[in-house]
Amino acid sequence: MDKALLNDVIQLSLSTLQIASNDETFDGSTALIGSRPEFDSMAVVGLMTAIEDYFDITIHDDEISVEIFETFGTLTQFIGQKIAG
Amino acid sequence: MSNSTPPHQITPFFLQSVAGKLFAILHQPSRKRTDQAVIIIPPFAEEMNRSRKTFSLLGQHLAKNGISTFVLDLYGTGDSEGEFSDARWSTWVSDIECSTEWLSSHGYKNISILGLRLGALLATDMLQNSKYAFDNIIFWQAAHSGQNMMSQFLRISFTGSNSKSMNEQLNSGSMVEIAGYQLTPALYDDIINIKLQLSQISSPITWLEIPPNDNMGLSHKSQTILNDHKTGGGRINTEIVKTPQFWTLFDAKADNALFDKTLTALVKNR
Repeated sequence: MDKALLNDVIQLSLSTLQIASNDETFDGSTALIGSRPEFDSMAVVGLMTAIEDYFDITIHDDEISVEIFETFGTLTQFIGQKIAG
Repeated sequence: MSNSTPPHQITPFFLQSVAGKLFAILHQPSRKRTDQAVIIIPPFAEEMNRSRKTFSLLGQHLAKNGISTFVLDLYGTGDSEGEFSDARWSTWVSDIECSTEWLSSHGYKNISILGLRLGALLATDMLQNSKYAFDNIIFWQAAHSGQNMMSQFLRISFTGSNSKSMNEQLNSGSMVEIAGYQLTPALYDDIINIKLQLSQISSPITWLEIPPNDNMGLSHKSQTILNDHKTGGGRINTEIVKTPQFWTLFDAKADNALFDKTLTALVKNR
């Protein structure tokens, strides 16, 4: 996995969802949806819009699934594939 | 003994609109009468619930600065009459017109409107035919189009069925439930045909953009809309405000920067 991209995705998510880092370490295995109150479905839709704009990609309706938002790793993988076209 | 009156008076009440009674809250300065007010045009569905705290704080801020704020629940939402499944776009446009008439008949001469997200779309649609000359038009994160708005709303259900099947259900005439809201095909059709129309607006427009985080600026879509408007000869004052996207986040409210910039927009053309 592209470490730089993972880091970008983590930073984008933390700042968009207003998650304080406190002393927590975030990495590819950090669980998202279902594990954190900030990752509720409304906030995730807002995050999707931020992702589309920041990475200049379009997420199609039939591509969206809850699995993408399982961890920072799965999210980064999805974004990486979209960027690569 | 302290005789200080609080600078801020809050009055909840109901007003009659075309389809039924609407619940509204008027925030007023209590120390001095004012003839200036701003009508808050709400965002869509759950976004409004996440925005209530922020609107309350806005009301407080503006009251301290001599301006009243009229916060409205559109028909079929909040504490207003009607079910969400009864709501139609044209009813909502009438709701804003009724609110304007209420303020006008209660001594307010300088009335502005502030639309958040879908509220901005409602505002521009109403302004195409409105006979009232509003002082200022303020947008907080204007929704780019009804289509875009519905696309995002349908996405909320992605943890269950995906939004494509939601689309199919709506197109075949069935209602869908998203985040507890019964979206009817009628309202869905109303909204997807609405575009942000800036051309006919004669009042000064202030476009406040709230990026998802501090590292981002104007979104691509916003830039396109604003550039198109410029080529058409219109002038809009655009500003980036660094504050959380409270209408979408879990348990959030806007920072003072948003209230300050809103106040500035309301007083500079006074």
